[in-house]
Amino acid sequence: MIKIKFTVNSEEREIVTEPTRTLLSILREELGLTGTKEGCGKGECGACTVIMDGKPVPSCLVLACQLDGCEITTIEGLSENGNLDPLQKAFIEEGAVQCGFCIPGMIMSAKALLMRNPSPTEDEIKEAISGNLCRCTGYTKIVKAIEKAAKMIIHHG
Amino acid sequence: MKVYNPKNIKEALTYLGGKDTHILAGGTDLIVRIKDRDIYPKSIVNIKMLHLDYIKINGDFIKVGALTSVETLYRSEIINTYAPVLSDAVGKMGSPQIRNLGTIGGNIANASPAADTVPPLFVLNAGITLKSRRGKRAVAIGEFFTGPGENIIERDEFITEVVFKKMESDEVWFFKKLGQRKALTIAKISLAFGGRLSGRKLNEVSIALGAVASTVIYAKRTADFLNSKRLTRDVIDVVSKIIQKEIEPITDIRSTVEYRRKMAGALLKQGLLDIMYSVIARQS
Repeated sequence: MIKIKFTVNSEEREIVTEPTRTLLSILREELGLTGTKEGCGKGECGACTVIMDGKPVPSCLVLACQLDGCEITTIEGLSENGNLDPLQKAFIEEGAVQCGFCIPGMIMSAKALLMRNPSPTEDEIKEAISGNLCRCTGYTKIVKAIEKAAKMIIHHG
Repeated sequence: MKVYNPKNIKEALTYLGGKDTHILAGGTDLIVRIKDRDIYPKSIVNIKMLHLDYIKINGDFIKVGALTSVETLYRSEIINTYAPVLSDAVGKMGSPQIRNLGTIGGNIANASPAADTVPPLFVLNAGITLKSRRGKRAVAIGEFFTGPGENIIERDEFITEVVFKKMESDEVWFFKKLGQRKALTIAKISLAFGGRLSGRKLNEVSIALGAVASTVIYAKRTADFLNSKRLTRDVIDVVSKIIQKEIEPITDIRSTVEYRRKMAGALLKQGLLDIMYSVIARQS
């Protein structure tokens, strides 16, 4: 067992756990943050994407022993005081959600993109979500929603 | 499973040497292999804290720390300027998420015949620095691999650095990769090309192929044929047949002998035609 200190959604956390436990398992089973989904468990589908130190990563491939001092943002950390993130609003408005399972990962990949590049081109959006699979194949509306969120952020800050 | 979290290289080396000891760098291969029950490590050495994440210019050379992520390479101005063949290849690797975790050292150490950083590193004639308690040694990338998943790393060693010469302005290059899809794909075949061009004449040609043999390989005969040849349509037609005869690919889950042979010729032809036409455009 090891003790790790890290930040999840701006909240400092200190937990004692197995060093080989995945970040995904810690988020879902230890911290109750079940918005992050497990798809393939091998980094191929993107459903478990979270933002670690500003970068999107598959949380199924990050181990507890790599977490000390890291800053993690999950889908639960996007809304502020009950106000949804522009990405969340845009996904609802564009109807970019079908079964919904891939959406938390999609939004976290899109969030990481907009943090780095506030006005991405369509190709840049497609590249940013190239590691996220949507089995309902609803990509067109997802890309539109991300374009819309980028505009919302630029116009309203 | 015991996990060590060394704070420096010296400490890390004290944990190496035992059977079933694995090094955890980015984890994108190791963790999947553990989950798949493909390996059962007795201990894991997590090298995240060793400060091996850097890209430095040192005179005519570029030094890349083994723990530099693929995404860092992809976004690096230094790599883009001085090793564009590598820059192009890392942009075609995995997905943004995988590129953020995966490291150059890990891609080399895993010794996949389809590893995407390796054909460009062959063309750059990179040197791999290994450290152990016994000391330090450098091995040319062309002598590094011995089979699929196999390399010359001893149990008590690990990769600390990758070194290669800056590419110069008279050097031409390309990297081609074919897979099932664009993202998250393992190459059916990949080809990296480097050489010097004066007028339309090629020299110092180096060609490396991935996924057509048990390791990444040089296509030496093909490269020799091109040396001191003037790039013409005829030469390109002939050389695209020579490369198909030189390689000995196999049929496996990802592709067939026939496809790999044909595509080796097609990829080389495509890349060389692009070089030839850009020279003609510049001259006219």
